[in-house]
Amino acid sequence: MNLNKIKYIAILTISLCVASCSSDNDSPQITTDFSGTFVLKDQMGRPAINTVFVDASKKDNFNTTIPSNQGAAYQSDFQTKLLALNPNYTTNALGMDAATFTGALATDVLTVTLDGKTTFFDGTNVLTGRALADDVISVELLLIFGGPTGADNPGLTDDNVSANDKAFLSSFPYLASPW
Amino acid sequence: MKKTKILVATMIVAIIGLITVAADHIDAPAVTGGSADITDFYAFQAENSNSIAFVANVQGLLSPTATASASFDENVLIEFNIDTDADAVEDLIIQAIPRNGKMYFIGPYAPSSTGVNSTISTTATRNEVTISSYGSTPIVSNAGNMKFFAGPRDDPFFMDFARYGEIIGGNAASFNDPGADTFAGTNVLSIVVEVPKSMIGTSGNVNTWVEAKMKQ
Amino acid sequence: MKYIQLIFLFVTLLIITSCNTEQVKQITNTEDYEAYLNIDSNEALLKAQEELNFWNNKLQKTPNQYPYYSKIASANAQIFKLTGNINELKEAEKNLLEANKKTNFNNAGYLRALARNYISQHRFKEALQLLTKAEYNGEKLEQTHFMLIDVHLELGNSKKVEKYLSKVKNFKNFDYLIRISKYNDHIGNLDNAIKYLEQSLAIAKSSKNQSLIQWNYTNLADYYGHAGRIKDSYNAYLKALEINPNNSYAKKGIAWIIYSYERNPEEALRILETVSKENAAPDYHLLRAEIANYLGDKSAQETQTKIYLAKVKNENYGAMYAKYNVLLFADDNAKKVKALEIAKAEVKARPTAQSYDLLAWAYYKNGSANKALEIANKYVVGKTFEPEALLHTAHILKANGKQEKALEIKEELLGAIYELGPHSEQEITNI
Repeated sequence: MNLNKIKYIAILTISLCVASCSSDNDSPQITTDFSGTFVLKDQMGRPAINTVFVDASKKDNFNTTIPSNQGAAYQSDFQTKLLALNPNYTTNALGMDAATFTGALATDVLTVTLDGKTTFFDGTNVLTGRALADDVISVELLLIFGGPTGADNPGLTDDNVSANDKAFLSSFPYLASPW
Repeated sequence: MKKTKILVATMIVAIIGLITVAADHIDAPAVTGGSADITDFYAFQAENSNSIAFVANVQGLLSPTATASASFDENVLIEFNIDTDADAVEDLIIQAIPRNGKMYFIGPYAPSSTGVNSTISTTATRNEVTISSYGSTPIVSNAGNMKFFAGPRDDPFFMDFARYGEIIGGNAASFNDPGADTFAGTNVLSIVVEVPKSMIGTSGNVNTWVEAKMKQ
Repeated sequence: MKYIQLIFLFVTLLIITSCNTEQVKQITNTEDYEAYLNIDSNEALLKAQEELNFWNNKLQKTPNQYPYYSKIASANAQIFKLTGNINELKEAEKNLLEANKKTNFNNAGYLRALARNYISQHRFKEALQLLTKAEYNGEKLEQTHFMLIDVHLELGNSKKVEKYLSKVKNFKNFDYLIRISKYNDHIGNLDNAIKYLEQSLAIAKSSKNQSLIQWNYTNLADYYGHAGRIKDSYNAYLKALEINPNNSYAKKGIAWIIYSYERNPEEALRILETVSKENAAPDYHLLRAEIANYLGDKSAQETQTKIYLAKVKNENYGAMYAKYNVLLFADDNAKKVKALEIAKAEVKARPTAQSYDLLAWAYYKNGSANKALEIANKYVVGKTFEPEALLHTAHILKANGKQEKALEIKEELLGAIYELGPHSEQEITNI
């Protein structure tokens, strides 16, 4: 029996001992695991649509109704809500009557053009995307409350917060650094 | 002799069972789920006009202190959906999911099935970026003309949210001028991905939306 | 070959001694937790205070921004959790009331937040009212259902608990698992309670949510303790402390192991003294009083009991310490009538088996053994498995001449000495 062998056995048995005593099985896994099924909990196309047009009791449902089913399920609810918000609604600055407007909104997707300027609304282009600086809330308020010329309900058509409190970057990742 | 003194003096017997080990368990923690709340979604032409940038924000109203300890939930998949044929059904998706300090981006690719449930493709293009930590320079990764970022940013959204709530609740008749930006000075956790337009269509319009999906 | 044999013999012995922790009384090691005692700075508390200041400043600048009230309230609640300062919990209530007023008590999120505050204050009926409103409102209904389970469990409405549990059933959901676990503990199925909390821990870990992981470890530690798995219990408390070195609850848990399992009251007291420096909650003083009593240190027992009494005098505590007060006052001739009053109020507020146990105990201590037995038979026996209630019931049975039934309970109680504490040993033996 040489000394090395003894050492070897000792190490072996000690590690056996350590292993046999280990009660801690939660060492972190190194492999990256992407398996499993992921189930829809929340979704968003245009800003604040759910907040403004969906009743509290239906928000959960709206958030888990796939967009292709939203129009049929929600257009009439949206129209009711629109007329509750603005009982005098006739058409808006886009010339849409209540049914047309809510029909467009109920399918909550954001249209993006691949051909040029992307903006929620800049006076010329309408709903060609959503840029960081777009004052989307005022646009929506104007379309809901402003009537055909945008002049109705002047106290409700602009929240008077027109820009972000920190300048955006011109380059990726575009959003301003955190506070 | 004070009253308490009398009380203590009469407590000759041991107060058995008075204190037992945690007979009252601590109250349940606040119900989870906030990590799957999307606060905002943006899609716009990038600095390079041949690309489109998508932004999804989660976990809103973070103070600077809260931002430092905020993290993405590894059980939440963020999925950018792109409909190229105007039927509001996704034809392409870009998935983003965090793992051990990195955000992995899968796609854009055509999912094998659409709708409420998603899986993550093992064969589609996969890229990654280290999640930027609070207070350090943003880490950006580039691959195949795509750009990726994940981490805390200033909340780009601005709105007098509280005043709007008061108006809807019948507690106010009109907006203030000037209004107050409810989200001023606060942060969000952002996922930003930029892709060449050629990867998601040719010309005309696409419909886009973002989803948060929880692992089941 | 002799060497080899020797080594194997040695190693076998080593394995036996090192692994046979069940028989070895010494489980804790000062080195494991010393670093968590007397820490200079309380990171978590500093952060919570920063958070509070941030939102307070914002609210001051723009007072109409009611969402900030709920942010301030979260910071208040966090500070309460870390310091035990009851005023913070009351401040949180005030702020959440503001947010709810601004939204006409019709915002499910704010309703749930206030309900959660009321649960902490043991104002369960008010919490139920708010949650009922939130349920009607319907936003994030599942979250409301989870909280309804919590409240109905506290109120003793088992049917409702089961109804809501079946509504939200999802064994892959953290919120569901921790509740089905609590329910299993409630019905006496500790093995399942542990199993589900282990599953929820796995989810919390995969979410990388540190505060949930922390919460999960401390609760799991409690259950391991109930199950007699003291080593696992100890390790779980240590894991919680790893995440937050100022987790007073985990320190108390370790102190209990040292006191009740290892019977080292001096060391337990040393830990609890450091806990009292970071957390003002009254119950730590009661535990210190009990350990002092065990040591025969009447003066320290008196001092700690006085501190407890002085603290719970603060009306802000409301009914939060009703249980402790009943048990404490019931042993005091001058206050045992008061104990009965509190127990009656507690039964009215939350008619659970535990509340009825308090009532029975108060009657028993007031000389009405008969009435005590009647209540115990009707509302306690077979309805709760808390050792404390069993111990009371055994006393009440014995006082009514039901020696045989008392002895049956005694058998069970002999396995619960760790949970009840060293004092109980002699007492249980005497049943």
